[in-house]
Amino acid sequence: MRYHIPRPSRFFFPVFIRYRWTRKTLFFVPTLDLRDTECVGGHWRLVELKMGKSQDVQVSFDTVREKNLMQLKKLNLSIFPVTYQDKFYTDALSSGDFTKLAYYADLCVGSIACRLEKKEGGGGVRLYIMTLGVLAPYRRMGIGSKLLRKTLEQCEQQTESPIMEVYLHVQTNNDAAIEFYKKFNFEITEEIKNYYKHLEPPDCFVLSKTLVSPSKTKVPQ
Amino acid sequence: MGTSLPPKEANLFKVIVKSYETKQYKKGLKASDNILKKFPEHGETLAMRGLTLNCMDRKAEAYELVRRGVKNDLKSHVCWHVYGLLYRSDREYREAIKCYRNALRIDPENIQILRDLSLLQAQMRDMAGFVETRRQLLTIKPSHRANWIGFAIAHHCNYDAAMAVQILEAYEGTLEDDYPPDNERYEHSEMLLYKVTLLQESGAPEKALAELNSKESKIVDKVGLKELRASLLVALNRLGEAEDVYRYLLDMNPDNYGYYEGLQKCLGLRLQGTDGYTPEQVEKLVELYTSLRAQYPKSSAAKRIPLDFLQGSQFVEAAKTYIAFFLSKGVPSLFSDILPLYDQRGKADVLEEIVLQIETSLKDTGSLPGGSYVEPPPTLMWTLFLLAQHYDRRRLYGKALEKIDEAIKHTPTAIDLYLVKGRIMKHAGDRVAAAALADEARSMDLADRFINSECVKRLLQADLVDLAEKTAVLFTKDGDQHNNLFDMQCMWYELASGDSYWRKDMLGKALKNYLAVEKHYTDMLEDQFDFHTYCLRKMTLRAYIRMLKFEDTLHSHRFFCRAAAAAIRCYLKRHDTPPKSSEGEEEIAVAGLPPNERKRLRQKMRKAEAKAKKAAEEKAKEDEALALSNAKSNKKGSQVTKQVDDDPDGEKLLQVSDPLEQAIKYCKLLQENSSGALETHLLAFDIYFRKKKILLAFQAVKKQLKLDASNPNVHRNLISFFNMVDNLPAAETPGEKLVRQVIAVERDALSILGNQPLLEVNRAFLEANKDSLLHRAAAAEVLALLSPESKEEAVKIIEDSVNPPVAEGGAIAAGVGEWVLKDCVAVHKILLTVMKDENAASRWRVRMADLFPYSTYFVGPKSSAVVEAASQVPSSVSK
Repeated sequence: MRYHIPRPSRFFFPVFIRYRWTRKTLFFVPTLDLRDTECVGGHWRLVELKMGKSQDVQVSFDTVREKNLMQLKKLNLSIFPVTYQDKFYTDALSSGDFTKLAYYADLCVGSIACRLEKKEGGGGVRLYIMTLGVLAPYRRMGIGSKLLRKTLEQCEQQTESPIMEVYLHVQTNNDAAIEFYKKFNFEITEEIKNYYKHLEPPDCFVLSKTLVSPSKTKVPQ
Repeated sequence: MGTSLPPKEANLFKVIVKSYETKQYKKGLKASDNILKKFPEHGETLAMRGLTLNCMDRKAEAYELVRRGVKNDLKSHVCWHVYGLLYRSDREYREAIKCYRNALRIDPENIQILRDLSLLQAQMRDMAGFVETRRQLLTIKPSHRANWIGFAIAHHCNYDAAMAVQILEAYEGTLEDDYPPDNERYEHSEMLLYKVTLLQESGAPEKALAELNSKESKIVDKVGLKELRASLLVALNRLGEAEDVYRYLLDMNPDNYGYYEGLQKCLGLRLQGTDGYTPEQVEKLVELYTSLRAQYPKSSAAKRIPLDFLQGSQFVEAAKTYIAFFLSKGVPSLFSDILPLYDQRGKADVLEEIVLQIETSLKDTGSLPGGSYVEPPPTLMWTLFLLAQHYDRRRLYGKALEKIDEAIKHTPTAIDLYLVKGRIMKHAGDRVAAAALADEARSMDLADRFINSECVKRLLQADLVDLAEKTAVLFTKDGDQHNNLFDMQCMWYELASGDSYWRKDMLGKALKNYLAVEKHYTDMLEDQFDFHTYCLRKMTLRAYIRMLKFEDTLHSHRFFCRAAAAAIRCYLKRHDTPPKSSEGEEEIAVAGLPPNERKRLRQKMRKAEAKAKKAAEEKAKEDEALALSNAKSNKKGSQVTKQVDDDPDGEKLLQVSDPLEQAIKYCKLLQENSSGALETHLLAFDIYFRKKKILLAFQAVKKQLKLDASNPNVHRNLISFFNMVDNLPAAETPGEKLVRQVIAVERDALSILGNQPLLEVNRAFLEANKDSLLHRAAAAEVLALLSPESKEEAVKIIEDSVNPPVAEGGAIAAGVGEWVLKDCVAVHKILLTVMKDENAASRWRVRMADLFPYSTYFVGPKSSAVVEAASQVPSSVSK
């Protein structure tokens, strides 16, 4: 079976990279646009959190609108060392509920930005995850998982023009990200050689999850 | 009414009255037409027709008709009443009262007129007349509750609380035992509470308490009852019982500071004088609040109050727990909560140490000092946020910015951080950067009105008026900015934009804004009118009396004082720099050109004028069309047409023949209502000095001396006044001679002058205040005034000033200089405008740029004035 990989947009190729500290595996990593920039290693201090994943943190969600779009911009500016073009934000806004902000203690700390695409050859819609990120001090608290889970649940609930597939790009050596998505039953469907110009390795995987019969697919809790 | 008419017309007249009351004005007009056809000179009909027209915005016709009506029927109380109503609708209350009195002379028992008269008397504070009118109303109709209450209120307002109590008691005597019925319980309860406060006011707390106890079951406002009882018990020195009541109240609301204060009073722990509490008192207070905290663990008041009286190690401990608790909770307003503590000696240093400890601990271990679990991430951000505000208060702007930037890096989405950073920049003297930051904060939540307003304020402070207006419009109705903000009495906006225009030297616009504020206060005074009836009907008597007292002191409100002072300054400036007439300007432009050129220029001007006129006409047409379409689109809407502002730049306001006369008008309001403020008398002096009103100017100086004899401005006024007197030409008329004599006598009596020559007085003043910048500047200014040849010496006095470091332990960090930016700017202006020494001014600027690196005024190296200029160069090069 052959997959056609659409070019996401003229302006950016989102990829997953792993930040260069290895003592702990981050189960959450930011995406960034690397077509015009060199890989910039993020560095921050890791606070060893005792609360861990077991302690449930209160997170609430809000959709992105004109009125709070700047919050998303601030997040992206801080998490990804790339300035996204306007196209990114118009796509995010037009995705409606699928682009979300996560609030922790009334502070906006993370977001997932998606784009809805018509599937080629007719029949259904698919969702492309452009970015998924949480501010550095608020990582390892399960906020990223919650954002993704919430989005997947929402995909299932959409009955009108149902979403058949959710997919994204990830750099081949980004084990943490791959692991993270595999937990949500994403599968590697294709490897694209020489996808990145400025990265080593220059290849990426397409991670994809098919939602054929939404009611049967279970999201891990 | 309408007695002199045949039955058919009499009926028609009733129709007019009725349709006036039901606001069916057209119907009323028709009926009046019918009467007037037969009796064209019938006075009462004419008057009623006028009144109806008045409601349809045809004022001129209305006045003419009503006057004709009165003239045709001088003996009719209806005509006079209508005339009074007409005046009342135009807020000419004195005239209205006269008309009502005429009406009452004809029909002394007319209840409607008496009631209208009493309202006006209450509004005009004619209390003796108010009592009399109310007495008449009660005599005519004693069955009416409102008449009894109104009579009591009148006596209360006339400073006779005891009489008011008697009246209320007499009224109660007329009531049945099972009064009140269920639907009037609230009204009756308010009446009883009002009576108790009356008793309290008339100096009979025992009676008040007895009354309160006996009527307890009938009072529905239980909280008000308890509060009143507690304060009465305290007044009677029955502290034990009062304590019980306060404890009961605390049980209901453990966050009411007033209850804590009351409880302290009962326990003999009242703050006496300014020395603070005695050690024994503190000991008892500690005990008290420890038990209260245990009792009300959720009350923040019980935690906060001890910080005010604790000292030393006890304070450290208490502050530590207090701050840590609220940081962990993430309360953005923590700093403004603890801000008052900075004024207490030594506490600022302790607070700094505590917050720094928390910061280090969070960074090293992730938990609070001595804490057992890891704090959630926002705690560190709020700690940095608090530290930034702390350093800002201590005037360590560099450190403050460092901390706030760290916080922003930690959580770039927290909007409060940007607002505080803007505030720091403003304090540091960079208003442009402050405005940019506030705008950034605004962009992060476009639905937040508070942030929008803060941004508007910062933009105005940075003199970006157009942008500010556009931003303010985002939250006004239909984007109709000015009218809407004016209607909402948005005074902070008007003051800020007035200040901005003032700085830009656009006096007309500035004045327009300031006078708008003044107008709001007049409106507030008018607004009380409706409450004279409303409060009596609804029996909210305690609130009504409070409102009357509030209205009496209305013009001493801060906003009014600021607006009036600023308006006076505008008039003063206009007086000092009268405008060149436009014709003169033209002549100047034309002069010095060869004749043919001159002709061409004139033609050009004429063309430009014609063009502008045409454009204005087109604009007017468009507006009209717009108004028309608006009117069509909301047919149902009221007939209010949009009022076109015929003086958008306030030029007409400025073009008064005598600006000083206008200034006096507002100055009198200030003198009447804020005579305790030094600024009032400074302004009064400025006006009368220019008007050459010697005695009034001297009176202002004397008031200033009484308020603050060591103030530099007072010194300057004092000396320049006597200097002016010395240089006056010899007195000629007997009146002038008398004035001189008075001044001479007063001068001898002034101990501050000590019969010394003025130069000597100035020298002594400088010697006594040689460490203060502003005093030195004032002394220098006076020296330059008294002997212009020693200007160099004067400049030297200013330049020799040294900036002393502040004393340790205060709110300002040790080592920071005492000078504040505002004063240094003022000194710069003195050097520039009074001394006219540009070299000295630029030397001063360089010195200050070093001291205030963020100041845009002094072009400090870190201010946006410099940074922007630097960043612009490479970008333009790269293009």
